Amino acid sequence: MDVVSDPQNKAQEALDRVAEKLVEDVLNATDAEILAEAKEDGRDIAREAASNRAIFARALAAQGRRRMATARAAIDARSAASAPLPRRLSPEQARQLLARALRDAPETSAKLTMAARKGQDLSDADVYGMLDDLVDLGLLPSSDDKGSK
Amino acid sequence: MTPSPPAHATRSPDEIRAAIDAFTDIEWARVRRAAEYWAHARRVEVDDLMQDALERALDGSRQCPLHISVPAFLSGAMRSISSGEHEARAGRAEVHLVTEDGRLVIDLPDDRQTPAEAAESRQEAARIKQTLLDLFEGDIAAQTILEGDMDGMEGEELRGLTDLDVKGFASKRRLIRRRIDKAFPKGWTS
Repeated sequence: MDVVSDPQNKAQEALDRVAEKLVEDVLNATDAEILAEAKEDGRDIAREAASNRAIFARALAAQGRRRMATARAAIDARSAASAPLPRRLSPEQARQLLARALRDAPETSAKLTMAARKGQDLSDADVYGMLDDLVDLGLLPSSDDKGSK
Repeated sequence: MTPSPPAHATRSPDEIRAAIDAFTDIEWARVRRAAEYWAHARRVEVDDLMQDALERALDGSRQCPLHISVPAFLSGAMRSISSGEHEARAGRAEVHLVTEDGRLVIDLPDDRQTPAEAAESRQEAARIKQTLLDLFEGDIAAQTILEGDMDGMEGEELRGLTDLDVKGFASKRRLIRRRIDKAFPKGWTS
């Protein structure tokens, strides 16, 4: 297939190559030349350096925030994986699991309150608390996904 | 004599950070000037470009070979970033084939160049090239170097065309840069 050169890219590339040489020349300039040019251009090198260091500080801070976010995400992922089963369920799933657990374990159920047995008028926190108790009693697994079915 | 590091040896992000932390005012000046050239050529903000390059240098997403100075490494990062920004803005049309009825839909997001804008950029780039060459009217050596740069010629090959010795060639390069600096104090954009 013929490749048609893009004249815009060609012109841009030519200018890029010039910019590259200008940059190369600046990077190769001696300290004395940099200072002399700054003086000639009325640039305050010390002030500019302070401003550039502030940019560096912002870059460091941004990097720190990203590292923190990554670490937090890793901790959250580990916590979520190791959290007891009930805590990984939606409130609706938790209520279904509680109802099933109480149905499957009538003896235990009898020891719980009437409200709990009915699973009604319970707040989400109550439901999760009840499920935690059932896990502690060994009546519910703590880490499989039965409750999410 | 100190042996050269292996070509593949690179600085760790911590080493890059330490090197930048130890920049003198003059090293910062070099990096700043490099940032200005790249930012102006690509219509991006100098400070943003510097910060972006510094962040990428610190997070290790770019490798810094030991034989490259950290200012030169940062300059390379800025070139790459500014180029990416420019291409993202001027990028080509995204073509989507709509399979339901076989129509070919060309999606041109608002911030991309229209054909008219592309033509305008092309003309502007050509104009800038000519303006640069005109700055050295009557200075054959400078024009030769500049044209050689535009054509991608390198080092000795280019110097050979100018009949300048190494020192004279370096002086001519400096003259070229300083004259362009004065003619384009805010850089050129195309």
